[in-house]
Amino acid sequence: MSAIGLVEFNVWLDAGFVTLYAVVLIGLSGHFMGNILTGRTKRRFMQWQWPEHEGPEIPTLQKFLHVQHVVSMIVLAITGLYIRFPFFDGGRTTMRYLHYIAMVIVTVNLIWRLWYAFASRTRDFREFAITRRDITTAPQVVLYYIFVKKSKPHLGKYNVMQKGTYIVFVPLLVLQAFTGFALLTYGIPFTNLSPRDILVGWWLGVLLGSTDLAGWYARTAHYIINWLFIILTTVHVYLSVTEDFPAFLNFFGMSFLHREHADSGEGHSQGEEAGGHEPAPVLPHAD
Amino acid sequence: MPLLAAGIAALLWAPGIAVAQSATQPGASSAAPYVSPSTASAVTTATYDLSFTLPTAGKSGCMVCHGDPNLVRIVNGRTVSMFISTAVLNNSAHANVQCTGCHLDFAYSVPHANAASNAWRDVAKSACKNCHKEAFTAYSKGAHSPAPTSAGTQRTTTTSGVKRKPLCGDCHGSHDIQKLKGNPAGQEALHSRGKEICGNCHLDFWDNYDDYYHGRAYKRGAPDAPACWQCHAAHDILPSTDRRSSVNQVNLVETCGQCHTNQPNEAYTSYSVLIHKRSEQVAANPLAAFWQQAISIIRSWFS
Repeated sequence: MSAIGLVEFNVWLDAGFVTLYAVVLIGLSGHFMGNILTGRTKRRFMQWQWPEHEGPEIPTLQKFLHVQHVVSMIVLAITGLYIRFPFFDGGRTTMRYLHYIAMVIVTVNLIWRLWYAFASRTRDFREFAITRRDITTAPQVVLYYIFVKKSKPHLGKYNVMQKGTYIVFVPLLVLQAFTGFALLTYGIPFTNLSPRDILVGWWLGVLLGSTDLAGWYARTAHYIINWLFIILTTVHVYLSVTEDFPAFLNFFGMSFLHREHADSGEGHSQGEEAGGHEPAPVLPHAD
Repeated sequence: MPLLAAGIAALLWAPGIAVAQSATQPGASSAAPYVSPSTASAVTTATYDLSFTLPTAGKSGCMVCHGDPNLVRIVNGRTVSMFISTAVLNNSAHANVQCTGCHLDFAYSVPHANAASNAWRDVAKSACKNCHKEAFTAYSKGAHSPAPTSAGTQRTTTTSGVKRKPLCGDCHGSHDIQKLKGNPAGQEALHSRGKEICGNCHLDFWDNYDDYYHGRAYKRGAPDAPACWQCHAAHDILPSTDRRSSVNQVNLVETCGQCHTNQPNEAYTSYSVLIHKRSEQVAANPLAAFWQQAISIIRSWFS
């Protein structure tokens, strides 16, 4: 991409992602209307019929880190967009440092989550693994979300679309951290190098003939991934609320609200009427 | 004393048109035609004998009159304050400079013989050259040079219309000029004045200074976003079409390299297209143009 192309590309990115985000919001609004028209909303929010969960209660540490991660991601999105599109006076330095703080928290969270998934005693990475059964049942999951089917197959903690999204989150987070650190030009103590020099200067900078230009590429990639996170997180929040609100409350330490509803005699069931799960078809294991 | 001071000073600025707003001299009514309608209680100095010489060894002589907050002058029907704050003056970079160090054409006598015209302003605004020789030399080589053009005029055509070329004081201000060396507050104050210093004449360039990380951030008060002169140069500013200009294509690498010190190259400096022409880039993009139009329509619903 020529550098002039990079200028035009940046303008396209602004317009393209704003358009895409508007389309996503319209799509989610349409989906919510579908929920109302098919009675899913009534069953869930008025009759309080939600999918039930098996297995142990989610550890408090996981919930805390999830909340912390949510807050940090929101801070990163707002401060990051402010840096590109300042929308109030005098905030650049503050917003930049808030961005750095949230960046460190998210990076530490990511490292912890990878350790938790692959090296801790729990090692829950298999819950995210996409199996052959996930793939064969994926069309039914899609059909459920577009209101063609009344329920979706229940194979495990997460369905195939959730697994796919969460798996994509990891490389995106790694790439976002990489490109984010590549924007830093502060000198590292006792060296003549900055994070930008170390991460992109020695290879991309050499290829492009300019470490600053490499930084511009990194900034552009950082901006793209920022929008992907905003879109994915918006969809994630929408589906969390509309598909499994009790789990949403639980993750934010408000499961007592769910219990109050459940104890008050309102529904609390799973299955077709709850818009929930159906037993998994008997298929050979993928692993 | 304030009454006397105001009365004396008022006359310094051209007999008959200056007034002291707070004065209560009984003879005020005799000067009514010269008093601003908005200052009904004001009096002129017509009843005073002002043919004397003021002290010459310091600012105190001038401040006898100009230290009075009520000292005003009527110019074209407008009331113009001629008050000079001692506090502001003493806090400025020129606290130790005598008034006549800049106001070269003012004798310490009353009335000020040259106050009738505005030439004294130009003298004061250009007096900087007597001390700041290097800056004046650079300024004389730049597009703002006070030397008359080949047409014999000191006026020049900017994108905002025909303007008189600025003198030192037009950009730097007057009595409140702050020291810059070793004075972060002064540097910050200067940095924040891009609109007043450059934008008032080059309004379109001020308006279209709206790229992501320079213009928009500068207008929102970002301390590390560049003010106009950090790219365009200050005293020796030249049109961008001039190959000697800091913002001419051939010098961009060096100019951008003042801040972007990691090997900026020509491909990198092509970002400069966005700095003053982002709106053109946006207008050329159909999707962005659509959103701009949509937003302006939505705004019009609420305005």
